[in-house]
Amino acid sequence: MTERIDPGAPAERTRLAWQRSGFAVLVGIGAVIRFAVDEYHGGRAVALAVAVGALSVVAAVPALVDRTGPSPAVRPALLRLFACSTSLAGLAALLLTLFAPDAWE
Amino acid sequence: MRLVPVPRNQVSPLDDDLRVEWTPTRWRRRPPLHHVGTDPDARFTMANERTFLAWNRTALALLAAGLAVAHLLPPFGFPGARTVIAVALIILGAVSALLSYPAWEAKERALREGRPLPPSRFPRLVATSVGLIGLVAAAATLVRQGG
Repeated sequence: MTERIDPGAPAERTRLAWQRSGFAVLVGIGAVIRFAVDEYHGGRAVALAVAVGALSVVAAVPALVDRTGPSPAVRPALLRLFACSTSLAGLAALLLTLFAPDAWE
Repeated sequence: MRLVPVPRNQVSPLDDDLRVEWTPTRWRRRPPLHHVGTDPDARFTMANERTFLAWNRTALALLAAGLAVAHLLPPFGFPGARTVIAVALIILGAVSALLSYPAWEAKERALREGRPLPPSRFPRLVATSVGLIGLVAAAATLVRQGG
């Protein structure tokens, strides 16, 4: 007797996980933008806003795609892009924190 | 494409087209993921992907916490305390995001090849680091209240 594998529920959970990640991007990195707007009067916030928008789109794509086929495609490039974008956001946050006017008060 | 070190005695003549000379160690290009093994159970693939996403959300939470410490808290009792705590959190977040992909790939490769999942020291590193940062933050808070 063979076990029937239904990828429906795991696929749905995975799509929801992508949605949560996109939301975390908006909330978490939105803080970077808010800080940049306050500290630098919006000058560098534009680049960060573009980065956050791109990262949210990256997270939204897998949330929209139906992946209930027998062999859901693996997308290493997409995962790499997501991880690298988060790291770059971290680098931006690090630089903004280190070079803030009141960093060493 | 990632490069991994290979001991000289494990490089076969068949690997010549994939090999990159890198003295004193020889390096070999890893084959793409979809060329390795067979497709695993979809549930395992997706569970691995969700773990990757969970690490990235952890990274984002650490970044947000670092920014909040740096820019929302009042100064501690000694100069630079906020920045030290914030920088530690932000670096930990960035490293978490950076290492999430190699961890996902190693597990996916093991799943496709039918091998046991590779162990990871990363959860221990993150837990220890967050604990240490918490201790430093508690000490800084006590100093501020004492002063």
